[in-house]
Amino acid sequence: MSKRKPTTPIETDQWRSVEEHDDPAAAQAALAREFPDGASELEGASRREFMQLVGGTLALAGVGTLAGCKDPPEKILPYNVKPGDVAPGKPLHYATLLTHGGYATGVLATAWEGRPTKIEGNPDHPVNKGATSSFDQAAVLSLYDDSRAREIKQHGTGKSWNEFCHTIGKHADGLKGDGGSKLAFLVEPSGSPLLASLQKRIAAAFPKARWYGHGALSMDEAYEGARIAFGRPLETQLDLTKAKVVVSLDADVLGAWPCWLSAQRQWSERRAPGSEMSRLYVAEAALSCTGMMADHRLRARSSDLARLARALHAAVTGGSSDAGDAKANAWVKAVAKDLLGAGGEAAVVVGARQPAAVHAMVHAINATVKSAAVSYTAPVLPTYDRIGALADEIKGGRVDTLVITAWNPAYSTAGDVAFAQLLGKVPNAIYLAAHEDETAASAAWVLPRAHELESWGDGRATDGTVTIQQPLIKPLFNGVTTAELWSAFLGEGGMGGYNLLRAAYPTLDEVAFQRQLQKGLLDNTALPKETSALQSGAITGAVEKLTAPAGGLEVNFVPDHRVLDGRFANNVWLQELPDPVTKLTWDNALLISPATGRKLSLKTHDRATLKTHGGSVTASVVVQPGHADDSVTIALGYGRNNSAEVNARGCGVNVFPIMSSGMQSGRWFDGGASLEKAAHGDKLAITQEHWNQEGRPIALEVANRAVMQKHLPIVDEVKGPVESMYEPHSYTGFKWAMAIDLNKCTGCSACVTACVAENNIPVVGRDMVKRSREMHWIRLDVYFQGSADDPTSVQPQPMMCVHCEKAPCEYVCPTNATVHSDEGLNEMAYNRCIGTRYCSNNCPYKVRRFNFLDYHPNVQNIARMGMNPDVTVRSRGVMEKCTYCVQRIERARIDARVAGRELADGEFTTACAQVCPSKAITFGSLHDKSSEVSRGHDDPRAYDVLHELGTRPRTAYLARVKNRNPELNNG
Amino acid sequence: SVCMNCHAQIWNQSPYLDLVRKAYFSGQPIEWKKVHRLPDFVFFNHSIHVAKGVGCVTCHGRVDHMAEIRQWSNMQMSWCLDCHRDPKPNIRPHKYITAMIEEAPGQGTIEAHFSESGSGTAQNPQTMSDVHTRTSCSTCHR
Repeated sequence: MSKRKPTTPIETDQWRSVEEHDDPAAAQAALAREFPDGASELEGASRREFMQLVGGTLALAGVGTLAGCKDPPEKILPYNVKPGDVAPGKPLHYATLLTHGGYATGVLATAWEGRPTKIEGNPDHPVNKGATSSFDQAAVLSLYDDSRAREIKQHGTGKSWNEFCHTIGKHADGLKGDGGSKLAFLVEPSGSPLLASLQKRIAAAFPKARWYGHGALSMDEAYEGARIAFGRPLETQLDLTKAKVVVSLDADVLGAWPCWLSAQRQWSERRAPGSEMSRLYVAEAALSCTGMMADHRLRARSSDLARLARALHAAVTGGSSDAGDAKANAWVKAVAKDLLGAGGEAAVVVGARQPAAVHAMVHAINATVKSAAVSYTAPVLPTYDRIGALADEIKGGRVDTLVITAWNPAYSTAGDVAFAQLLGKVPNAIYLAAHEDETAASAAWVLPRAHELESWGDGRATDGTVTIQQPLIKPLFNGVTTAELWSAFLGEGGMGGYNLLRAAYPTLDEVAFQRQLQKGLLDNTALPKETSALQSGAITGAVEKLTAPAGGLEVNFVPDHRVLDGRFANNVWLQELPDPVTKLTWDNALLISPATGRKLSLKTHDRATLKTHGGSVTASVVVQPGHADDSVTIALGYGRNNSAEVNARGCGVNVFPIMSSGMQSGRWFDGGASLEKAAHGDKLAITQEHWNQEGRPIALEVANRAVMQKHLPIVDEVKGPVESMYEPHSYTGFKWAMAIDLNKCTGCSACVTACVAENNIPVVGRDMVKRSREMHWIRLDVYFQGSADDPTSVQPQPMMCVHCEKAPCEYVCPTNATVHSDEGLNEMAYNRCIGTRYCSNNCPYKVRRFNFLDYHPNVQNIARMGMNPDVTVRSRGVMEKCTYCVQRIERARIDARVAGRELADGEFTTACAQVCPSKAITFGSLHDKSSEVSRGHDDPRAYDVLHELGTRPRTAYLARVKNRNPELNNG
Repeated sequence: SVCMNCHAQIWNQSPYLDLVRKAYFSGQPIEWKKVHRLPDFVFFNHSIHVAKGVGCVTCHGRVDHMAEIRQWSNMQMSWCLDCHRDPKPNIRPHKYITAMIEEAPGQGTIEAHFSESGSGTAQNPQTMSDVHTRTSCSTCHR
């Protein structure tokens, strides 16, 4: 046996946090341990003390435990009359939809004997085509949320639905007298044709009733921008497969735009290195998923983007306008040249937070460069008056009955509107409440809102495709839908959700309706493309009215990547999901650039007080590399301290009170803020520095696609045989493997949530995350390169068990709990694991997770209905890790073999690969040379992480190749 | 309701079927005592065993001779593995899957594949069941 050569790790200039960038040695010392200090200790007691205590307890309990050797007898309760389609142990899939910002996403929900457990994208849906987001993945947990509103209440007294309909019916008759002039509706704008038809009918019965809109992702400015540019509101439709140059102005088109699921797919299709590879320019304040993928990212304050857009517009039309500083001017010049040279294969996208005039300017730019990637349709969402107008009406005493179906306006409204106080003045406020939250506290009537998986309904996707919603389960907590609530005003409260929906589609016969219901959408209902002439005069006029960039410190409010505007705050899967960029869990924070941090002597974890025109809040600071200087960003949706949403309590701070409705562009950013250091507080739970790479090259990147030929030198460096003292395994059949394309992965983290949902992964809570005890099988690392202030590259990389063929973990397990399968899986037999953690210690990838405590203590509560019955629920003291979704492999294999055929490539995939919007993850067998994953492994960009260790991982990463503009080499 | 398909006509007065009739008319299912219990960390799938020619009697014994159902095999892991390592003696022709005979005609003559790469055709009587033996942990533990 030959002696193994010592390996020399190749140094890399990548870093993961400002602390590591500034002082690599100190950061390294802090991370030298496998788990951080204290991760393995109990709160307040050392291991030795604990053993003493437990020893005594066990001795006392000894007699009792002996008697309990045999499990209590179990009972089987069969169906008395078995429903036709249901076979116990065989899950069924139903097409339905989930709504996000009023737009529908087509999904397939998996149900086990009537219990929904998992969401997948509907592959037949023309927009998301099988992809879903973290929000969609976490919908199952929201369904089984124990703290949802349960009862119809009038001033706290329980009522039945019939009583409500009766009372409201009589009340509505009274309102009809003067045409409903004292009736108002506060709605969340939605593309639903059913709600539109109900609104029309209510408006006919109550012609003087007023409608107001309120929601987190308002498209008002976008529609207004189109109205300025084209004379009427239009929906921008993107097709990034037709864009060779993509420019995103504060848009986060790959992470938060309404159509980001389809945008990611289309964009990633054009990211294969080659002459057709697209180039992405991003200008934004806070680093976003799109910003991480940018070939050239310009740090710009949100209020500077108007000037930047104007300069870009001038540059493409042959004029000139100052973009700010030299760097911005160079950026604009290069972008304009690229846009004009793309021959129509270009798209400029602007974020919903920007004012209408900037949207109008971007329409003009797209028209000038004759963009084939941007087209227009009628708006998907209706436009309403804003909540400020409603506040005035209430103040004037002109609202007697207010029907609130928007989410929690008492919490999610800018402070100066003081909506919570005003709501108390409305005698008959009727609130459709997901939880008994801030709004429910001041509403006369509170009705439990049915979860989307309990509802009949419909919606429109971003392209207008009518998508149908069907319930997977009867409402668990007597919930009603918006449509059902509205129908009570038409005297149709007894109709029920299905009949209301069916009545909205009178032209479809029953057979056709059932067919579309099964498919989850109505064929060919995408809105037709519309063309409109550009009104240059109006655009110029609007641009001139734009205010100058704000002076002083700029404050940015953004919808959160995890809790949105706070509506998902009680969803622990989302609370514990690390933010794609900051890796922050369970909190929001003030994001500032390193330069601003130095100026104000603020570091990550410090507390600071943010003062705006609207007031002040104190929150923790995160120094975010790549953030714009003199600007601070904080996410909405935290500081939820109502009594119902127990999981959200104590998470972050609420910034709605310091917003003002009069802020530029409605309410999203403003200047004149100040930030001051405040007294120390608790540390934040940030996962960024957990499980460190110790300076070794893990996420490879090449700066220019021109370098990309047959071989990549940087990849070739980490290839070739490595000597090993272990005999190689031999594989005769399937060789399960994965390939992850770093060119496509945007770090959106949908895979992490999908993995949690599929594999019954526990949530551990903020304190446990701080001790690096998070249980996520996938972690999304972010690697930076360049200076801390303005990194030249930010690279997300998903990392989970790579299923080594020569697995270091397997050699050290004393109980054979982790062993190698004949197909190359690195298996975990949980019932054999005694928790020595040797495997984790010996794992160079740091992908094993240990159950320090029993993280499923509430298995008795309703949340256990959402568990995947195909996966063992792990208990305390057991090691776990990514299994390549072995339960899916076995299920697909059994199905294929029972049917008498071999398992084919593409018949199934892992949860992470299935959810991935950009198709960055592929899974399959290497024994089939034509499989997708084989092609990934054969790609010249493919490399093994930590190849020099000779572990022969089955997960190959494809090095990221950027498409930098040679004219812009400095940024 | 499955039982009552026949027992509405046959033995419809039998005192042994009191519980069945009660369940049928009350809509409350019978609480059966679970006899064959596997731990929660074991995932067993009937369909693949039946499809590959393991007869009922092989695991459940002669239930036709049991006055009350009892566990016939020990259902320990070594018992599962014995068959997974050498399934041949227990594989019987499909037409005898439900037959209550310990040794079905032709049992033990059907060749089983011992590797994943095998792909026998369903038409070949010798490999009719096209059995692949699997002994990896994740076959049953996930």
